[in-house]
Amino acid sequence: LVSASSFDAIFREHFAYVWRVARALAGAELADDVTQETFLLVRRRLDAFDGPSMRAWLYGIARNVARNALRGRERREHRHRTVPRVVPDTATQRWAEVQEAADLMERFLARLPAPQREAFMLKELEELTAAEIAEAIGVPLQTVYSRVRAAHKQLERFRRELEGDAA
Amino acid sequence: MKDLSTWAAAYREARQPSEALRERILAAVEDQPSRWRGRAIGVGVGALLGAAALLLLSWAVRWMRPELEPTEAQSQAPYERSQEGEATTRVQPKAPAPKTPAVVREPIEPPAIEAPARPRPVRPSRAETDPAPAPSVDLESLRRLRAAEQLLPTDPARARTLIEDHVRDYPKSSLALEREALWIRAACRTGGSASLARRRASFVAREGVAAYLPAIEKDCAR
Repeated sequence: LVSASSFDAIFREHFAYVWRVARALAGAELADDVTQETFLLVRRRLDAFDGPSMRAWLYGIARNVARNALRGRERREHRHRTVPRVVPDTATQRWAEVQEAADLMERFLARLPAPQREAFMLKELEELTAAEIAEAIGVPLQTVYSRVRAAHKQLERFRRELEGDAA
Repeated sequence: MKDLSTWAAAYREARQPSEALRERILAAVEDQPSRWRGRAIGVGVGALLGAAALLLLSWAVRWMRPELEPTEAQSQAPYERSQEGEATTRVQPKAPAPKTPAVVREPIEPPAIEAPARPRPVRPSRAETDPAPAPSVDLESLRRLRAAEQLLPTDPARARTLIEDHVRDYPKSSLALEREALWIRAACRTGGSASLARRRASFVAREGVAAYLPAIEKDCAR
């Protein structure tokens, strides 16, 4: 096992990232469990990490955990815990806008095919480089670019739909 | 909504894990090493119990088959397993052979094997070719060689007769090496024989006989 300090630093820096990835891959109900399992694995395997990108490595682990969680969801009881969320300043108008934007982004992500969603989320939302994404999901660099381009086209269509609805 | 970067920033800001989850994960990670220690201790205890069970089983098997254990005779006599295939334990022979104390003047009477009523041993020609001969045959074979060895200092001619009887009754004995060594020593003590030189040279040339050579040389130097 690695030292507690290095794990703590990784956890502190990437906790939210892993949780969002878990949420995007496994859904809101499983996100907490996937995040926890991911970090338990990270704690055990951190001494084996030798890649160039910690976020790519974390994504690979989270993706496997999410896949297993989705497979097992039908077999096991519902374990989602309702935890009290810390809601920052929900009363303000700005927070309402932020929540609306996040909901819209999730609606858009849900429309994308899984490969495009994966590439787009990592590139535009989590701001990984194309090389990191290629390493994380195990595809060539050009494939990453093409998936992100395809997702951008879908995004333009989505925006037009939103504007049409608004009009 | 404005540009994509604003949209993405809003997404990241709104989608934050709870503090409760953070605490839960940290607690689980803290608990992880102790869980692994517990598993390691469990595995260690299991391995110890398994080893103890194997030891007990091994002891029980030996207890049920005492004839396969090295006997007192085996531990005192320079008997060693030959390569002929009988299933007894290899015993490192002692060399040189034990000497009869000088205070013993009277010849040691051989045990019951000398008596005419001696039970005929199981004919070994068949049994000893089996991969696992009956242990009683082996014990009887051993007992007779032991008697011959005891006679060697005081009555080598008789010892030699016993050994030759042994050859006849156990032609493929696993104690063939020990027996041949005893025969050479007995033959030397009785003044030699026509075949002694040849058999001695043949014996000395074999592998795994070094332990018997001091006793042979001593007896043949007389």
